[in-house]
Amino acid sequence: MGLGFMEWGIIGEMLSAACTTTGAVYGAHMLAMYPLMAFGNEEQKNKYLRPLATGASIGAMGLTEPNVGSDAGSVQTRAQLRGDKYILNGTKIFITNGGDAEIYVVVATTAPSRGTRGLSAFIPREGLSRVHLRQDEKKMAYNSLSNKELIFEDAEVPVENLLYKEGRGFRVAMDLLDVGRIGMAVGAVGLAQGAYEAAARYSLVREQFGRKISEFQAIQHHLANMAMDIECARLLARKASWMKDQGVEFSKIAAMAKLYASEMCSRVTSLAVQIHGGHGYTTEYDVERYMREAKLFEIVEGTSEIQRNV
Amino acid sequence: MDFSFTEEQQAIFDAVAEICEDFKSTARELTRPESTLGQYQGHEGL
Repeated sequence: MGLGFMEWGIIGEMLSAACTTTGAVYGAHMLAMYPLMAFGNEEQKNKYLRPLATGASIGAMGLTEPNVGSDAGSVQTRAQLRGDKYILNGTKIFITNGGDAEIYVVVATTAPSRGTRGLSAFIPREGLSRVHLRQDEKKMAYNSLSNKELIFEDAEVPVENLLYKEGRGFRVAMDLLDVGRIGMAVGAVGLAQGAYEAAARYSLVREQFGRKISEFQAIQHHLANMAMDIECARLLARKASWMKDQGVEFSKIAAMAKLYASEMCSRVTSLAVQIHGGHGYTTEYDVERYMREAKLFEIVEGTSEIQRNV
Repeated sequence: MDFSFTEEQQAIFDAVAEICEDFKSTARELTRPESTLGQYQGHEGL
């Protein structure tokens, strides 16, 4: 179809502006697709990437664990080679699309003493009979988004489902996080755009002191600042996408885009509530939900603090 | 940076935009079925 990360990002932004949860499903799907695309062999691409690309299957990725968040290199899920199979044991949490996905990519350690050089990535499809899903996490927002625990109990994964090379799972995870940060940036831009449009619409109909509130300069300045902030984040996100498509180093710009866009999204959604006044604080209007949804972008795919380190 | 797109790519964006419009109207129906403030303000469906 001739689509690159630029086009993927634009579509992600559009989806997130309309429904941030759908944007998250779309983004999480790419988290399974990208490692297969970048590191999979031809057989793995045919078997797993193709159904993900056509939409026949939904994908998900598992990296985070109960004790492993920002320190992604300290994964504890264990993968032990026995004959022609790896046996996986451990727990992955916050798995977006968990339960709905048929194809997962997970990172486990094949050599705990080697730290990040002991991590390996797997496609545990054949082992899913030994994987248990625990109920959805109860979250501040995204109530319709599936975020489950994946519990591996002696799950058997054939050696051919090792992704890339044993001991190179950290490289897979780091590359994936760079791409994921573009996804988070475009999602935050989309959500902010939705909040801005809601606030602008409201300002054109809400009347106080006998005038539409859009006629007050205080409101006009809020809207101008929101539009400018969104555009800055959009340009950063598109630059990161463009650099990825050009095949040049994009880690730093992706982290900048994710950091700026996520913090911008919190500012913009908060102003959208402010423009709605008391009504914005009620569940009658979408903007209170936008504000709750925005917070997630400052946390997932690396917190704002981690982005500043990157 | 190049922000120009082929006709085929633009057609995909247009198709996504149409889907997004459906999302928005469906979300309003599902999440705000008994909205009264909108009626009070004379802008039902916000």
